[in-house]
Amino acid sequence: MTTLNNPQFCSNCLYDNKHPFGLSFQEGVCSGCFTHSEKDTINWGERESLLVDLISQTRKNKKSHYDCVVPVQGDAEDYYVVSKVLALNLNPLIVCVNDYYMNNIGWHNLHNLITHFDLDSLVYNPEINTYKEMVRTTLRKLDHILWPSIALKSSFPVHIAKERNIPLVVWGQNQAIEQVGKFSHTDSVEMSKWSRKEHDLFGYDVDKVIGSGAQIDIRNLNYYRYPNIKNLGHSKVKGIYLSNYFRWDPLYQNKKSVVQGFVPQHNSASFDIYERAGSSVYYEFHDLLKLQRVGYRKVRDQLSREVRHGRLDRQSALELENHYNKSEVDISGFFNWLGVTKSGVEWFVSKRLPKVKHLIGSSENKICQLPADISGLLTNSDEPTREFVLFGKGVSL
Amino acid sequence: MRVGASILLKNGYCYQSYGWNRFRPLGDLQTAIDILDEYEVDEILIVRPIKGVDSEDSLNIDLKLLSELKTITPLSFGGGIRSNSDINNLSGLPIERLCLSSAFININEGFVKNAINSFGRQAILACLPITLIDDVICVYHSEANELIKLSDEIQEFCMQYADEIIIIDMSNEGNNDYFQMDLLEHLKIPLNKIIITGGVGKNIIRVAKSTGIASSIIENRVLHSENSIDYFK
Repeated sequence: MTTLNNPQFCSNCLYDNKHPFGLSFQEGVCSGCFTHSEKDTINWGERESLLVDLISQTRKNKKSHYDCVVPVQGDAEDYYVVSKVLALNLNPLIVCVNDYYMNNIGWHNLHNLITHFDLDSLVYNPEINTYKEMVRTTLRKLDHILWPSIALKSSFPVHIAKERNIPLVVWGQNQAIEQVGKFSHTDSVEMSKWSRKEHDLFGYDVDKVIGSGAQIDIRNLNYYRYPNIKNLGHSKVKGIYLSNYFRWDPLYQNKKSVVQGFVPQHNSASFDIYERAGSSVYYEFHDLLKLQRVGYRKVRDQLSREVRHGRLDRQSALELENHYNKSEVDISGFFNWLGVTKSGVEWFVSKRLPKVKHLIGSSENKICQLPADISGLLTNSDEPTREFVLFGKGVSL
Repeated sequence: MRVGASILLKNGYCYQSYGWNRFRPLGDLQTAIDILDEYEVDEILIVRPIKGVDSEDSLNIDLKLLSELKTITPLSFGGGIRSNSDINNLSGLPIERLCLSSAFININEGFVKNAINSFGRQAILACLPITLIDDVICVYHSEANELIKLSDEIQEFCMQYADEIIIIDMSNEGNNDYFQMDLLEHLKIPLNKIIITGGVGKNIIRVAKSTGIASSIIENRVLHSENSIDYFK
């Protein structure tokens, strides 16, 4: 259990008790590592059977052509989730929220996902002026530029399920379990308004975020809010996480997406070419803000994951984190997208990014030696040719 | 029968406990309470899981958080309340009932009477975490951090001064539907004075209703799925 302000470090992975999701410790090992160890003892065949039973139960409430909603972004993980959903003989409706941050690789990956698996899809383009004002607001108040898109991505698919009487929303991994072991896999935790606010939205809801400072017409915020949970209950909509039913190993399973046409993206802030490939901000300004906000960059999550999967030892992970922590990020693209002037950016950097401004520059790749167990799961990756592609249509054949 | 939820609070952060020995993080207290309000649970029990010596700093952090709490659901609070000054510090907090454990196990009549003077007798709950060892009912004495035999004297003292008695099945805490109803057969406490928790699930609640138990408190699982309380009820 966390002890007041004393820092506590896991003896196995790279996390400490400052993790924003919270961590507990027992004999020096964090709850995330403890929960990960369940993966080697759980009978995953039995878990899958439970999932099949659960699906047959929800099908009894089916009043739609579709069995489930699958929220996607075009990530490698989405390819894996869709593969599993189809293998479970479900008829999914793919739902995507345009976060206006995708580059040409991101759009390719989304369109390829839809065409490769031949899926019905729905892409929601939120009203862009409201969206940008939300981004300005959360940047100002929370040091966060993804909060509005996370708010939409964690609620819009649920609205769609409710509005169209689709009984199930299928998510991929439960981050709170995979990162900090907040629950046991066998708890079979489901999607909830509480979990969304606690984990996805960092304890804030839309009303608290906009407060009195944002210039936003609240009539445009419907899909930023979670549906009324009583109505959801009446509609019998539930959301499940596949990582509770299948042994989740992102790097291993994401490599498979390449043969399905997924294009990985090279970045200088991490070795992971699959996760959030296709974003113009994730390993750039977002990563810098994460460092400022929580004290570490995305690569720590990925390195801790690899330590737990036994592909890295802790010391090597620390050395790799040290390497990637030095990578510079390009923030100019984001501020151009937001329409901030050069002097505005200079003010923001000097006043709001004092602890991390030494990392602002150009994101150049520096060679880094990876252990064979990890490099063996990587493949060729691309560089984007166009960043911040607001709307992408079709797929090049 | 009332159906409530419990939350563990320590150092300003909420936890889940499994089997009395494994803690998992949960999150922010107000965020959890907000959703429990929305789920319309009948009562919320906030417990500080103290094993052995408590720290004044830790207690103060938790009391400050409690003082800022906004909720419409009746709150019970306990854990680490061991001195008269602790009782005094609780005045003004948004709690309806006070949950005492070590004071009842120690049969500390003066302290319990002082708590009654401050809160009223109807607001006093005795908390007995119990387990069965070699067919003997043992109670966890948190102040001493050890299991001791649950004597008739302790039970009679609880019945004399507490409005209701919380019985925690230590071994099955955090597990779904594993509360050992057999434990209650070893007690002298009437069922209508008992609140059960520790492995409470839908089937346990059904059985508890039929036996006239006063209340069932679900631990971790209320927050594991949406509108779970409707399912449990």
